[in-house]
Amino acid sequence: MEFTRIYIFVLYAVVIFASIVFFLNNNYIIASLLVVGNVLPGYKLAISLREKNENRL
Amino acid sequence: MIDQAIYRRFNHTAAACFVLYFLFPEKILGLDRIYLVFTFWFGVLLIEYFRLNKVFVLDGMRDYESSRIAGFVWFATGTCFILIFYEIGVFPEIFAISTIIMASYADPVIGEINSRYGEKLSLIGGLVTSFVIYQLLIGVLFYSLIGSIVAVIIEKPKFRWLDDDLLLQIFPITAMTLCYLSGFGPDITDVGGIR
Repeated sequence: MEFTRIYIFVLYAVVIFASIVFFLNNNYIIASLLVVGNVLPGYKLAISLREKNENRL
Repeated sequence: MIDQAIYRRFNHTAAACFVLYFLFPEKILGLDRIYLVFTFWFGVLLIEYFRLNKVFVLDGMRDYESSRIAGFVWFATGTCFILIFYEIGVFPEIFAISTIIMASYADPVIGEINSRYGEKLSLIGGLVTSFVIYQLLIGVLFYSLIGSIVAVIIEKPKFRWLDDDLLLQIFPITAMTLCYLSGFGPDITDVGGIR
């Protein structure tokens, strides 16, 4: 489970990094698609992670 | 436990970041970057080998995947297939980029709409998603239509030993490339490609 949490945070980092890199390379469409496509599932997953942590406290 | 369905969806959409590959230098540590693709694929197969042999348990797996090849392996195989054929000059770059992003997003959209609103709407949702992505990146109506229609058609049939994560990548890009190389399709304007 701890591995999964770390893996999820790495995924967040990769998505943010990739979006910024494409944006800085003037590939605005790809950067926008990466943000738009990941923002909803990323947000839902963050909520899921937070709820899980609250239950643990 | 985290929500397994959402975890799977996020894994799927995050796979669009594979297009970072196209920003990599041609040579990495003196080796052609295609070796990176082979290394990655080998790593995925290794993880799957250990998972199937119960050496470790991965989160986000479906029940039926406990004894058969998981979706992430199929997806990685499809992406590696695209990247290898791009490197040997078969697939145009913009087809490869757009198909990887399309497959990352269209499949979760179809699955999510299917579970909430039924199959018909899921097909429409998948068609619209894939069409918009192709149109934004390739910018040619002909290829957007071909790619999105093939993607939706190939997503529906279920095979025991083949996964839509693989088919959703291979069939649309092959159809578009065949049209392009045969001269049947128009030239590529490449509005959203890597510059």
